[in-house]
Amino acid sequence: MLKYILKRLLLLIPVIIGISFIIFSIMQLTPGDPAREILGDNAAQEAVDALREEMGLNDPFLVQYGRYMWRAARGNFGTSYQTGQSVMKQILERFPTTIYLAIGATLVAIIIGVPVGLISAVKQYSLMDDVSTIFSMVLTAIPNFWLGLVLMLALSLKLKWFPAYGATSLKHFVLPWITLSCMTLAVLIRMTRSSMLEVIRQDYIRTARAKGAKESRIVFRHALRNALLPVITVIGTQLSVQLGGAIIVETVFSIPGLGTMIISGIKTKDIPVVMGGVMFIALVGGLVNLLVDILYAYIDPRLKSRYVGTKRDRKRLNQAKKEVTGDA
Amino acid sequence: MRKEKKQVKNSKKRSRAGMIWYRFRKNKLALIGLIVLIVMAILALIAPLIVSYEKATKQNASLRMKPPSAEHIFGTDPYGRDVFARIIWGARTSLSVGIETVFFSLLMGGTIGAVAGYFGGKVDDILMRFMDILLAIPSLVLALSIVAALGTSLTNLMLALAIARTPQFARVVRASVMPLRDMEYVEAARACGTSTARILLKHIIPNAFGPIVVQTTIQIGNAILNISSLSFVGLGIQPPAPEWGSMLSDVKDYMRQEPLQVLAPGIAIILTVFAFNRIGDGLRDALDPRLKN
Repeated sequence: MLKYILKRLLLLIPVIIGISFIIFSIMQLTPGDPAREILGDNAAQEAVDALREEMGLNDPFLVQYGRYMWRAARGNFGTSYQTGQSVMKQILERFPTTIYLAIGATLVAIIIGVPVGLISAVKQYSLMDDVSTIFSMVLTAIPNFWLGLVLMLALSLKLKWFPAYGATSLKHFVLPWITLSCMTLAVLIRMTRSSMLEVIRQDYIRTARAKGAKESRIVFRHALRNALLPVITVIGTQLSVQLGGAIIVETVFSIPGLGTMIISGIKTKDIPVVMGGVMFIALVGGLVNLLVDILYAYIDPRLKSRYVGTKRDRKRLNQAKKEVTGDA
Repeated sequence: MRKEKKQVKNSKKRSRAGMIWYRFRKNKLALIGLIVLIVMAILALIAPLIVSYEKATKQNASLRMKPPSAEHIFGTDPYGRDVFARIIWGARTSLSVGIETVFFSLLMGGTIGAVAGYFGGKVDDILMRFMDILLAIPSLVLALSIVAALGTSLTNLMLALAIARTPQFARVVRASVMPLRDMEYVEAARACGTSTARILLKHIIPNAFGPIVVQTTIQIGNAILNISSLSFVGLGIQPPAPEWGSMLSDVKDYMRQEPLQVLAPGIAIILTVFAFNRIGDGLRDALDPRLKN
């Protein structure tokens, strides 16, 4: 297992370099001079030139990229043009809010999506199945910021059940969670349904039925466990999508997270803030996918057996497998 | 029995396009999607005949936040502009920007995917690794960073969204090109001395038509969602141009007074995106019946 984790971690390195390189290159396209941006329009040209030299803006592109990454690796994303504060400090202050939002939304989607998908698979072609299919189709077409506005209008402004803005208590997060979860919810309903339908037609399920196992036992003990494997992968990819979606949802509910930081950074042309924020979100997304892959290997014994145990164990296992399949 | 025979006879007579239409038609939701889209497209095309552009963009302080009336069916927004006019003209914006964006990414992604799939080996490795990395960045985040760097304008928005969906197209086109490149008819074309570009354009791409059309349709819906999201946070289509997402951001602070103004642009977005998604789904089943279920 350790070998698998290490292997995956190593594979993450080129992805990190790739992502950061692309984002760094994009940000280099920004018109205007950062030194001029910091000193203001009235500064003397000599002062701007001196600052350019000091910031290393005259160095070749690759040198600048290397320097940025070297600093970033040690937790330094530069300082904000606007506030002069460390970007890393801002990110660390705001990141817990964003991840809390994304994880909460994912949980909402799992809690609703998996059971709904399960029921519509078990009762295929029933009314419940049709309703949930249409429901998930509509969900994929709903822009999440609009859902946020409608929920806010109905549940906070009219009924006053939840606060409309801010992020100070659990109650503040209920509407943003529901809002952000809608896309993932749709994906999970469809994924659970199709994966469950595939599993439920397999021979071992028929065997379980033939031996007289109760339907509930067949569904929960035999089918669901296998059907959930692809669903877990989807949850992983969705979590990184959620981090992107959080940018918009945070704006709707004025939540002080990474998203609102990036948007205001873009509006004030605060490049270090935008670059740091975007880079951080992309990297966390990559890490989350890695974690999910590891979790996946841990849950799926077929994958796990490839990495668990000593070499001799694995050899024996393979031997046994070959004997069973008869291609020794 | 006789009826069945008649059906078989009928289906034999159908051309390929007829067959696709026959299968597409059976998918009720896809058909509804197609009708919705046609209505939207017609409204967008004849927008100037329905209501003037000026009504959709000209601010008028004396008409602020008026409730629905005969003159203003959906009322007026906080700047005194007619909401109905903005919805109709917004359809024009959303559809044209969405479609143009996706065709642009189809062009880029398609070229990359076709080259990668046709040549294989190192070329494939390098191009697809690059696409994988782009794919690892959430598309909205990628689009945001491009808009952040280049500044907010219509061209930059389209460029950003097009780049953000390029990898999806590269993947689809590559996957459809790869099994075709070793087919005998392609080899024959090569033996005749046909140029690579011609082989790709004339002999391979037409056969990969199905998955590309499906992907294009679904991505247009997706692009429209992203355009409205970016416009909502003020980084997409810039005012006073009418766009559904920015309409929502305009009324955000006034929505308690006029809930209809929040509902109308949202429903317009949902209908359009839903239509594109359903058509894409219907086309997938119609173009390749094996994939069904």
